Amino acid sequence: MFKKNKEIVAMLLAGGQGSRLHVLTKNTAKPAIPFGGKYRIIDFTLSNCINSGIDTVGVLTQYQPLELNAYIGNGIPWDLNRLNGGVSILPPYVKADSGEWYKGTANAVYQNIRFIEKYNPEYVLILSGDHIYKMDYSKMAEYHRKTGAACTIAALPVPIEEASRFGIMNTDEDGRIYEFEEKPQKPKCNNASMGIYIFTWDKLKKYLIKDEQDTSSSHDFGANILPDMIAQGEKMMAYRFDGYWKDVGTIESFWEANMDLLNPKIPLNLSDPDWKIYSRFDPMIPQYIGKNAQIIESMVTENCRIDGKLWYTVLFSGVQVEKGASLNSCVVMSNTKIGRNADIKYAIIADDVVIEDGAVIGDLPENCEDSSKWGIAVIGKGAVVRSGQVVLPNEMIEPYSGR
Amino acid sequence: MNLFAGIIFSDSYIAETNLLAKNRTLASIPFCGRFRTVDFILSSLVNAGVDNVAVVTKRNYASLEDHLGGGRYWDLDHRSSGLRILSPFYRTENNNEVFLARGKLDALRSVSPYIKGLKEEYIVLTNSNIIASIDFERVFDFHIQSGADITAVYSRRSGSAGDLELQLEGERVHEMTYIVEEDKRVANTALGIYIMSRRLLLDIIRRADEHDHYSFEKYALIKNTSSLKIAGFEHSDFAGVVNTVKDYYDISMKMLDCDVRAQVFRHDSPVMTRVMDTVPVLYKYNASVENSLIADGCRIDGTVKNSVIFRNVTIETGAVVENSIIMQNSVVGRGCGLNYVILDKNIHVSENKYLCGAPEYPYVFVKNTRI
Repeated sequence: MFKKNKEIVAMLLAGGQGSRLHVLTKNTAKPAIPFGGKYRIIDFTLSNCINSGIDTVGVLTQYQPLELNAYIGNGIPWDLNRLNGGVSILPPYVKADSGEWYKGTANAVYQNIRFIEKYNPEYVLILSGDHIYKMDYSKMAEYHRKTGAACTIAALPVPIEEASRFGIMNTDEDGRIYEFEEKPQKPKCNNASMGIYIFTWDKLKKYLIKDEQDTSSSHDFGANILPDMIAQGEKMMAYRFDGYWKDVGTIESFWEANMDLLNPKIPLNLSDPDWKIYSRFDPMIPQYIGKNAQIIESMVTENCRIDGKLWYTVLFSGVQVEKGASLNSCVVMSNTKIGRNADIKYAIIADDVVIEDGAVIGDLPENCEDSSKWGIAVIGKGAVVRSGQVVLPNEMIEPYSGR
Repeated sequence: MNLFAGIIFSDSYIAETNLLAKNRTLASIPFCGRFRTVDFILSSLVNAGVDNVAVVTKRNYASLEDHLGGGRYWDLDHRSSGLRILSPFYRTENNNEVFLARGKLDALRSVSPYIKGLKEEYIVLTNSNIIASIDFERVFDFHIQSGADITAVYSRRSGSAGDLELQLEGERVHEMTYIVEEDKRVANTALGIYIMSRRLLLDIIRRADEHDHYSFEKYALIKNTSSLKIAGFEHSDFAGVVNTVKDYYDISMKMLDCDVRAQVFRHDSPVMTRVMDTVPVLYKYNASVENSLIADGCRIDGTVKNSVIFRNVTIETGAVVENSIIMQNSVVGRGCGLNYVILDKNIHVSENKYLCGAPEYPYVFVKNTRI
């Protein structure tokens, strides 16, 4: 079939394990983790692509890809089912002369040079599938084109005390980067990299091939490719982004990002008709709110049946909350059942969990004598919490335990 | 290959009494927060493996076409079979004048080339206004095993004007009569689902053509109870048929009952519908909700009791909605009070308005109005 060239091809890095999400990512890749009632983390990036007019996306998978592959499928929910382009899942594969896992983010893209070349693009957009944000990549591409850079990196101002968690870009006044430090101990500024890069493809290809030959390299964009390009004097630009952006790589930040959806002051509006977030979702019956329910400042999804109390809580589809149960500041994923008089505070409960009558999970931060021991309680997928059982703050219950 | 193909009528051909179907078909009346009436019968057919379904329209079918699209949401977008929308018109031999179909036989006559081209041995003719989860696998087995010419699916309920009542002897229907006015008596009432061989159907159509008959119920059923073996199959779970606004209101309110919902929305037979991207429901600080169905995309900061609220409805601070049905994209302003009303789609009720119907006469506000 005739293939028209694409100006931009997006490569979405979705192969990481996300080990800091512990029990949540035990059986599934981080981008496939449910978020915000009816989404998965990857929906934000995929929706940003299509909303930015980018219709050719390669999704690089490696760790526990089954659920992610099934979820993305043919790309219909994101309008990424295209005769030319669309979404393609790109796992590592065996070639004639070799065959290996993706050794790093740069190596993953290197191994898919043929995929990219098929579309003969001008630019390649590198994305990761584990961030919650709404961003118009076409504006960033416009900036890249205008400045004539070899690489443009999206930059977000972060509090300086958190800067050492990020890749930090030191720039001159007009945004040109003269130094890139990956997770520096003593950051010189607060210009954090969001892990979103636009490369001029010819340049990137050259550096990917060069990096591949370097046996001492860890084949990572942040650690190897970007510093090398700067060292070679390539024009590298920082593109400032001021909207909401959250890396949901930890239990704490994942919980916070869900709570942010309930906060009207936080600019993460999911119902913006001009920038919809799409997801794969089977239609279900509307939620039924019973006679004893009390729901305040909460988000509830289809097919839920609620007869208990919800405060500051996000419920995914098909959750049942029985009479007398109370949830405060919780995230509860699909098809979990919460028994009568269960008392749950500051917790993340994965899908298909059964919380029996009267179980107690988590607590308020102020009730914890030693605040260093407080944290979000997490119940893994499919676990059963027995009647009368107490799950302490910061405790984690393994998937399918108690069955 | 499945032996059965489905033909769904988008409208009944009895006197139109339903304000909600004024600018749409009976098939596309929004129901239960996010569905359309046709979703129930269409999903039941698909869940029994039927993969060739035609929807025969009458008029005002833009909303229906919009809803059904290419059939993708019912998994009916195949290359060689799937969903067809057939829009018949009836043309007289002599003067070539175009009429609307007067009854189902008229409609079937004009789509008979489609029926002739089908490969399935049996045809399910059905209305689109049935709120039920019909187990068609059992109906099909019954039809084949009973050796009936026609199987009529019925339920025990009190019908309304235009419904057919069946007199049964065992499984055989020996008499069918029209119910003339609303009747509280519970009887064997036809749901408007008939199964017969394709050959018999084509035969009925041919004879109708010869005699210019147009009412399927009258000429194919009522007058044939002795010449054909018509068998009755009882659907014993909940079933409702939406003819009038009162039917619509009553059946909607029955969906608040957990047992009824469990019979209509069965785990092993999902009701499929068009997918729209809507966010979860947001309950604000003043929200108070009791015994209600709320669809995704709503924002609620008022009181909702005994009501069905469709997608993307906003209930503003302090508004009180009771015993009402509010369809998609409507807004109920601050301090409003609504009781026993049906707001069609996209109605904006400005602040501090009181709108009230009665249990026997729920008041309908037509779509796209500002109050």
